[in-house]
Amino acid sequence: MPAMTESSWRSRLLALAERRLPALTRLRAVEPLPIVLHRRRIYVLPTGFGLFFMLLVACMALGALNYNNNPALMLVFLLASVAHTALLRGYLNLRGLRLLRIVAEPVHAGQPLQLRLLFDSAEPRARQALQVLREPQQEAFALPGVEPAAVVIQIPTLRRGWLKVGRIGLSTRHPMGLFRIWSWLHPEVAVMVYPQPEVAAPPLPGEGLRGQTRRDRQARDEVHSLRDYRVGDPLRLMAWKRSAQTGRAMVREFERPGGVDVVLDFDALTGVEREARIRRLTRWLLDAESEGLRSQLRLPGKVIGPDAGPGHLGTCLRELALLP
Amino acid sequence: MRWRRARPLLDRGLPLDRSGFAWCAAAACAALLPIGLLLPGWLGAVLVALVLVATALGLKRVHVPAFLRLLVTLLVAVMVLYMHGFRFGRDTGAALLAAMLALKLLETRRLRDARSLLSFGLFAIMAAFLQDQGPLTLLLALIAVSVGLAALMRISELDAPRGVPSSSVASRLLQTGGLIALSLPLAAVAFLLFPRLGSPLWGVPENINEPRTGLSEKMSPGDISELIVDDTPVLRVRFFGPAPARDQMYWRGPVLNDFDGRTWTTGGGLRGVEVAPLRSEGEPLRYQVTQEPTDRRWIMALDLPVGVFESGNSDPFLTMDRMLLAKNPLTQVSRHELVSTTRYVLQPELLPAFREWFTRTPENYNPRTRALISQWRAAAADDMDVVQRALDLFHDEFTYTLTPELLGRDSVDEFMFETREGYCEHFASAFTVMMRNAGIPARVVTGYQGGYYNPMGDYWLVRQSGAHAWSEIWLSGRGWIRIDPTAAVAPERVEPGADGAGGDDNGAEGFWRSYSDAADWIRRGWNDLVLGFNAATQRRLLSPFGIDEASWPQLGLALATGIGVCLAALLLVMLRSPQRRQDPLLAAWERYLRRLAAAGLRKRPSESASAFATRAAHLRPDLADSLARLSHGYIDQRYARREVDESARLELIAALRGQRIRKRPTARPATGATQ
Repeated sequence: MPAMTESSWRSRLLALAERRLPALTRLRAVEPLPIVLHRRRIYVLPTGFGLFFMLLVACMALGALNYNNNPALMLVFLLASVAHTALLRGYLNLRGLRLLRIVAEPVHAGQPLQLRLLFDSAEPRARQALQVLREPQQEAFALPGVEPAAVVIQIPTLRRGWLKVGRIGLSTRHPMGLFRIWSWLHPEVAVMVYPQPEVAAPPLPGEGLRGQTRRDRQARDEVHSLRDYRVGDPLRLMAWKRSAQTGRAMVREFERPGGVDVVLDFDALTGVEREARIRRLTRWLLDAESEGLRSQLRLPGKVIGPDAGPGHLGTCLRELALLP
Repeated sequence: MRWRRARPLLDRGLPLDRSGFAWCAAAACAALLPIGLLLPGWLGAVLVALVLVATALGLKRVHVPAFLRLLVTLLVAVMVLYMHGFRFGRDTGAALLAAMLALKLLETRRLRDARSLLSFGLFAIMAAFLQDQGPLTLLLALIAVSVGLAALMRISELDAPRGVPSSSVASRLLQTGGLIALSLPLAAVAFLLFPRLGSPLWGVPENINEPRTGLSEKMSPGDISELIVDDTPVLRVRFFGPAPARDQMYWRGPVLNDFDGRTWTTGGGLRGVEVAPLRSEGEPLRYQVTQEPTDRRWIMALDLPVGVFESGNSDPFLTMDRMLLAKNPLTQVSRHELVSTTRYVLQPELLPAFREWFTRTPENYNPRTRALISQWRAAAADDMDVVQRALDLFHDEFTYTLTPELLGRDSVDEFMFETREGYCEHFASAFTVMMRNAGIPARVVTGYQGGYYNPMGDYWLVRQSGAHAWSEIWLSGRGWIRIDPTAAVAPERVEPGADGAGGDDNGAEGFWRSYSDAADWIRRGWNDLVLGFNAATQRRLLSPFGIDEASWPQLGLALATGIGVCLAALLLVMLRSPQRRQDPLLAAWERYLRRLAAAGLRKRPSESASAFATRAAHLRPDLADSLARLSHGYIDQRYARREVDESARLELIAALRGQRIRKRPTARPATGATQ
């Protein structure tokens, strides 16, 4: 029989526990937010130092009992009692903690995703030295008051589409490092990962016309009105003079003519492999947006646009990401 | 587990930060104090130097190479062993432990080291308790535990460095204090009810050095030129019934039977001989002796002990010459209930072999005394004549002093014919030698004389300064009789009333005296309640519940119940008290509302702050201004979604706190009912 390594035993045991005792491991069940940590799902084990401390206290207790040395015995019981109180405090540190929301700005595959976990306290209590683990990153945070606190975790993205947040470990060794108190959260949350843009992609289709198009458009488009600057508006549209006069950041708003600057057609990209097509379209959409062009995305069975702006870009990237 | 991969080598890898190290150094110092004070002086000095150097190096984050650490460790270990003559006893162990604790600071650079250092420190406190259980050690130990736990909490923050709001030293200590306070009830219940061992599994290792003063099994009069008056308590005695007169209070310790010409020793030859028969002629006296630790086996009993009523687990027995010996050295405060009698006939028949034994003196020592006694013997009618002549001589021509001259080879001769001054040892020794030379069986008894009555606690206190030596002679038909030759020279040494009221209370008077009475009474209470708590007292603990002698299962049940109650209460307390300070603004606002309510303006739960302010302003127009201002400020500060200006906030809190409200409007009468 081949020798079992420790880790393979461990993974087998874990798999068994997960299969047989889902309520204990809480690794599989996906739950809707918000998730409150209650006593049934908080687990405690002594740390290595905790075991050492217990051994020490046990030795001291044996000595004190043997010598019938009452001050020493008091010391022993005090230490044991303090360890127990520390355990309770650590447990209460997790109990009533609530994961409210998980938000993340979509990123392109390959870029790290900033996962913002928003926690608050269902039971009013200060919480310290909390550690949250979402493979492969671990982050510490605290909840000093009742106000919610956010903890940001970077996770790598590999593939486009919905990224399930998956299991999140929450643990604490507060206050003395004697015990590790932990729980697993498995929120039913997925975040969007856009496709990766192609590097060194060919220029936008119809590049030759673009200079003219822009001039055309500037001639053709009438400034319809001015409005306040909104985040995401291209700098190109800033009405600098008016802004300086009024003291508010203003942008020009054009009438929306029905014209299209670029048409990005999935099916037209023949001869390119499927994922490569998606990457190229992604790159083109980004380019079109940065140049302020109106774009239309044609996907199998779906046409988006023509339009411009962050909203449009988002919709298009999302559709691309979700392509089968 | 998955956590492992996320953080490899969790404890070992994490370095200790500077303040973490400072905490560890402080905890190590605190843990060293109680044990270090018990060490011999210069070892203590070496350790202090070591700790200072290690702390300085640690704060500068200097890495000490392993071979250097090893070298220093070996050096210190050898030094400690050398001081204890390379023998291993309890004190050797304690000294080594203290040294290792100091040395451990040299290599404390990481979290893991720090944790072992702190655990080690807690163990050192325990080691100190094995050596001494006095109030000072206890106080220092309490401080050491607090600092140690605070340091543990501080360094455990390194587990999650960004997860902890920074806090000051004071608040950390306060937090630790809170943790200890919450843990005390459980610890107390466990202490009281955890079943004790009736007899130890293994013996207490003995000390190699003899730090404790006290009686010894040897006496060499003339070897010590100055007796230091030491007022440390030795015994506390409580009589169940009338106490004997103070000049009858002789506390019997080691009996010295053998004399080699210079030194008296207990003499091993009498071991195993049957206890001398005793006929008590007076009422037996029952009393309780609480004896401070001596590291010796003698139990001080009132002259003359009849028997042992109860004595914890020290299993005392009487020797042939009626010393009371415990089975093991008394390393802790021990309590014994004894029976004695002051009027007795001890050993009316003495076997010829013993007679010879008790009249033996070395031939070639003290010839002049020998010659003098043979003159007396020839002139005397009976034994009592010789005794009386000796006592008269002492009374007429000798003086009592605590600083006698040193004596040479024939110490009795020199004392008798040249110096003629000394303290109890000189007189007892010389007298006994004289009696032996006269053919009267005699021996020296050492122990304590007298006692000081503490009216507050109704007990007698015997101090080290009461150490005494006297003689016992054997007369045919009368048995052994106590003769105190010192009393013939200096009666005030024995009789009360000569100096101050009590003889050995050092002339303390008035306030100081009642203060010292109270202090000693507290000390005695501590001895009785805590140090003297043992398996026997524990079994009687449940007697209020109708269980006179609790068995182990009953104690176990009581323990389980007690722990259960404590845990439930603890959980309740911790759940009830959120560890969160209330927003000071909210607190100030609520205080303001309470003051308004006291003036009859009660905010309904359903009312918002502004609605209440409007309604209240309508009812009390004189308050309208302040109501509007404060409530707007409050709403603004508490609910506004912009950055709060800290100074404005503090101003508002101060205004809310400072606002006083008159019960009745001053100018106009109140218009409306105030619900």
